[in-house]
Amino acid sequence: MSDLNSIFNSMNEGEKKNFDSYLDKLMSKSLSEEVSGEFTSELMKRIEIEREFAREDIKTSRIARYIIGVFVTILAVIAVAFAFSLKVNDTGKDAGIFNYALERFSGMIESISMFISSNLGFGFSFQTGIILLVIMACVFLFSFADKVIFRKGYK
Amino acid sequence: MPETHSDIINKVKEGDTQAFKIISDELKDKAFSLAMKILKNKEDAEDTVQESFIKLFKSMSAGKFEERSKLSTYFYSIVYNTAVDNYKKLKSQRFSIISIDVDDSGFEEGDDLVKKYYESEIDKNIYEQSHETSTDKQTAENEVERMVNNYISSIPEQYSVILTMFYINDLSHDEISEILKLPLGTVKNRLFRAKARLKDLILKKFSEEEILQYV
Repeated sequence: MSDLNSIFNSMNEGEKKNFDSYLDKLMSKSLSEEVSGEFTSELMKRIEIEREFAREDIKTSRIARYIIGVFVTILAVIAVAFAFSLKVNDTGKDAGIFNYALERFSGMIESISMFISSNLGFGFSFQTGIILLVIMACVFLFSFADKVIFRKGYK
Repeated sequence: MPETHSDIINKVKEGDTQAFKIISDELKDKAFSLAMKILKNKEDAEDTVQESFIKLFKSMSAGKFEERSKLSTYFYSIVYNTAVDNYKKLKSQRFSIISIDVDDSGFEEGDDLVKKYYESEIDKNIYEQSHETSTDKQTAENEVERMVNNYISSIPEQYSVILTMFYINDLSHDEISEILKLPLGTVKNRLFRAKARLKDLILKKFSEEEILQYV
């Protein structure tokens, strides 16, 4: 390194500057590389595909949110209806449409139970039907929440 | 009036992919030069630059790039990190013996800058002795250029990456230090050392007067 310094010290400032810029120019030329001719067209194709994926993602999450909203609303309406119906039954007043819906649901569960019992040898009650319904709702909610909320955070 | 990067970023946010093409045209070769220094393979380097552009596009579209740093600096940091990740992946996939190591942790500063240069020069000198006798100005200029090319291709990437970032990507010492997560002194030292060794090599072969003729 001392040899090098002695060589450069013998040059005047202008010469050093010129030599430096000459070397800088040569180094820049040597360091620079060029992409192939198809690079930009390939890149733009990939960008378009990415945009399409992004659009699809937005659409899917919008639909998923809509489905969750509708399903939660239905569950809430059913819960309120059941609660109202049970309260009306307690007071002995006519529950009208709610009681009718409850009876229909209970009747449907019973007929399904009888059908399964006669064909498969086991049956289930109205309570079992409610529990299954709640489990299905939980699985449904979790799968959509996983897609829309949790996975979205990893991107 | 030419569009600024801010204008282009706003257009990309609105979904204008053609605006993004302006950025890609401006930065592609410089980014490719950087990726090549790490991956040493044209196809892998092009893939890496494409991957980096897609990351940049996503980031711009989602409004994640907040323009706290220059767009080019932000992009080159993406290119560097993607290239290092890909280098590690490819290295483990190919089981090849690659003499370079992007990981700086095991790298020791030393005067190994010219070792490989001299090794490769031995073969070239044998060739030149039988083919080249002319000593005119153009030949000498070509010879200096060849020496620079040979030197650049033989130095460890701990130096060539920094040189590329400085000379091609126009990054400052501070920006290089931040992207490479190296102390500022190390960056400055490697730049100085790499250039000083090259000067040394050239001045061993040519006199000052000769060199100053080409300047």
